[in-house]
Amino acid sequence: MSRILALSYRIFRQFARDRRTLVLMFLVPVLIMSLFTWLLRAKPEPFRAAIVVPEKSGEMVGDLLRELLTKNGRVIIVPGFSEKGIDAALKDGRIQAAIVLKDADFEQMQAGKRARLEVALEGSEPMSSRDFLSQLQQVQKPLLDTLRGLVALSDENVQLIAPPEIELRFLYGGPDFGEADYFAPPTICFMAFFFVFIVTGVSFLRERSQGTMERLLASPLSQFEIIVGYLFGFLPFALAQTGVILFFVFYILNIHYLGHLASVLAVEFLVVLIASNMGIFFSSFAKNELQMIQFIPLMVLPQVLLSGMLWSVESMPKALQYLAYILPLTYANLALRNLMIKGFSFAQILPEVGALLVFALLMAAAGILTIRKFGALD
Amino acid sequence: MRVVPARHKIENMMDPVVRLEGLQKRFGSREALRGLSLEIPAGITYGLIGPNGSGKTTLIRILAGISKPSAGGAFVLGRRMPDRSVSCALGYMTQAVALYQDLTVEENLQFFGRVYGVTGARLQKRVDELLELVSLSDRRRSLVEEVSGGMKRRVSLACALVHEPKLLFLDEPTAGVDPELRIQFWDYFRRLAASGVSILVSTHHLDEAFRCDRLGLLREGALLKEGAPGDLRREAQTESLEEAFMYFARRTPP
Repeated sequence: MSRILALSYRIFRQFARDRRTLVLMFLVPVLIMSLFTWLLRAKPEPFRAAIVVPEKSGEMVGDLLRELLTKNGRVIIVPGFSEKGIDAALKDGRIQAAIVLKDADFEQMQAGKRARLEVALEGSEPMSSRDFLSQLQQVQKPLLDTLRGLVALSDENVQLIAPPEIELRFLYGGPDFGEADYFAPPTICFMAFFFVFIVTGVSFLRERSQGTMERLLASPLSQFEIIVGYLFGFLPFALAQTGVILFFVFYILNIHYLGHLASVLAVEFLVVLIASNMGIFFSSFAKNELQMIQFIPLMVLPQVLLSGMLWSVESMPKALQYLAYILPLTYANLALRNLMIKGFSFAQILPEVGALLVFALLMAAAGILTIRKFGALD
Repeated sequence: MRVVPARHKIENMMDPVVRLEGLQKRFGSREALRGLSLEIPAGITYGLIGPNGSGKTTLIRILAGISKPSAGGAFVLGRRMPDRSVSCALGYMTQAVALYQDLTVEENLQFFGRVYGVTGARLQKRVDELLELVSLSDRRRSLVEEVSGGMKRRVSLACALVHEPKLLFLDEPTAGVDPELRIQFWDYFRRLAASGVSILVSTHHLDEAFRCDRLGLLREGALLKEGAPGDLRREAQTESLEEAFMYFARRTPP
C-alpha cells in the first residue's frame, strides 16, 4: 500500500508543480464553455429579406406579409428594392432573400387563381435558408386568411384565394444544397491547419530537445531559411492531404463543389504557411510534446467555434465577430466557401487572400523571432 | 582595442583564430562570463578547463555564433560574433548528442553537409571518408536511434566535420564516454590538428588537458590562468594538473 501511495504522491507532486498544465486544465474548460454558451444563447442576427410587390395596388399584400414575417423577430425586411436590384443585393449581402410578387401574378391572385410567388434565396447558408422558408410556410395561412377576408370585403367578384405556388430560385447552391456541402470547405482548411500546426510544432520542439537546433543555429542557415525550409518540408504533405480530401469529398461524398482547384490550393498554401509558423511560435512556449498537445484546446477550439465553421460569422453576436476577425481561419473559411460554394474567381477572393497574407507575414515574423530567441536565451 | 576592418581577410595564418576582449554574458542577474580576454593562435589545440557551470558552454555558444555577448567582444577568424559569414569555417560538436534519431547515420551526415553547402560527389566523398574515420562504414544505413551511445558520439563528431571546418569547437566531447572511446576521440583530434585544424575543446577531464597545446582555466565565468600545460604545472610546482588547478583556484579567491 505504501508503495502505491509513494507512486501516487510522486505523480501528485509533479503535477502540482506543473503550473502551466494546472492553469490550462482549469482555465480552458471555463473559457470554452463560456464561449460555447455565449454563442448558443446569443440571439442570432435576424434574416434579411426584401419584399417586392406591385406598386400601389400590391402594397397592402406587402405590408401584411412584412408584418407577419417580422412578428417573431427572426426576419427583418429591408425596404426599398425593386425587382431589378434583387440579384445585386443578394450578391453583396444586403439581403439574404427576396419575395417577389409580379404584377401579372398579383392580378391572378386577385382573380382568385393560383398565382406564383417567386422567392429568391442567396442560398450559401442552407440552415438560414431553410429557417426562412419555414417561416414563410408558417405565415402563409394567416396571410391567406386575412387576404380572403379583405378581398371578400372589397371585391364582390372573388370568393376564394388559392394558395400561391412558391417558386424558389437560388443564387448559390440549390435545392439539394445541404449542411454537408456547407461544412466541407472549412473542414478542408481546418484539417490542413490542424495537421501542419501540430506537426511543425512538435518537430520544432524535438529539434530543440534533441539539441539539433543548436547545430542549425551554428550553421550558415538564417532564421528565415529555417522557417522556409520547414514550410516546404511539410507543404507537399499538406497539399496532398487537401488533394485527397477534395477528391474524396467531390467524387465519393458528392459534395457540391465549384471553382478552380488551383485557387483552392493557393488558399490552402496560405493556411499551411500560417499554421507552420504558428506551430514554430507556439512550440517555444512548450517544454515537451505533452505541453504542445495542451495548446490544442486553447488554439484550435476557439477557431472551430468562432471562425465560421459551424455557423456564419455574420450570425454571431457583435463582440464575438470582432474576435472572429482576428482569427486566420475566419478568412480562410470565407475564401474557400466563396470559391467552392459560390464559384467565385480568385480575383473575387483577393480581400480574404490579402488578410491571410498579412497573417502569414505576422506569423513568419513571430517564427523568426522565436528562433532568434533560442540563441539569446538558454 | 584593435578595430577589425569590414573587409578583413579571414585567412591569415598569423592572426589568432579566437580573440576575446572583455567578454561578458549575463542571464538575467546571473553573470555567466565576467570579462574574459584571451587570444587563441591558429593551428593549436586549446583546452578550456573548468568545473560544471564555469561558463565553458556559454563561451563556446558565443564563439559558434548562437548566443550574443552582453558586453565586450568575441572575434572568430577576425569577425565579431555573431556573424554568419564565418559559420562555414566553423565546426561545432555540442555537449549532448545532437542528431536526428529517425534518420540514418549517413542521412544525418548528408543533411549537415548540405546545410553547410557541401553537395554532390564532394558530399558523398566526405561522408565516406568520415564514416571511415569514425569506423562506422558498416552502420551507415542504421537509424541513429538504433546504434549504441558511443556510436552516436562518433556520428555527432563526424557531423561537425563534414564541411571541413578550419576551427573546431568541441564542447565536452568526452563527457560520459568510456575510456577506450576517449582515447579514440583524442586520436581523431590529434589527426585533425595535424591536418591544420584549430581546435577549442572544453573538458573537465584534467588528464586530457595534457594533450592540449594551451590551456585556459575557467572558474565562475572568469579566467583563472592561461598557458601551456607544462608551464602551468611548473608555476604551481606540482606534478598533476589537478593540483595545479587547485593551486590557481586558491590563489584567486572567487
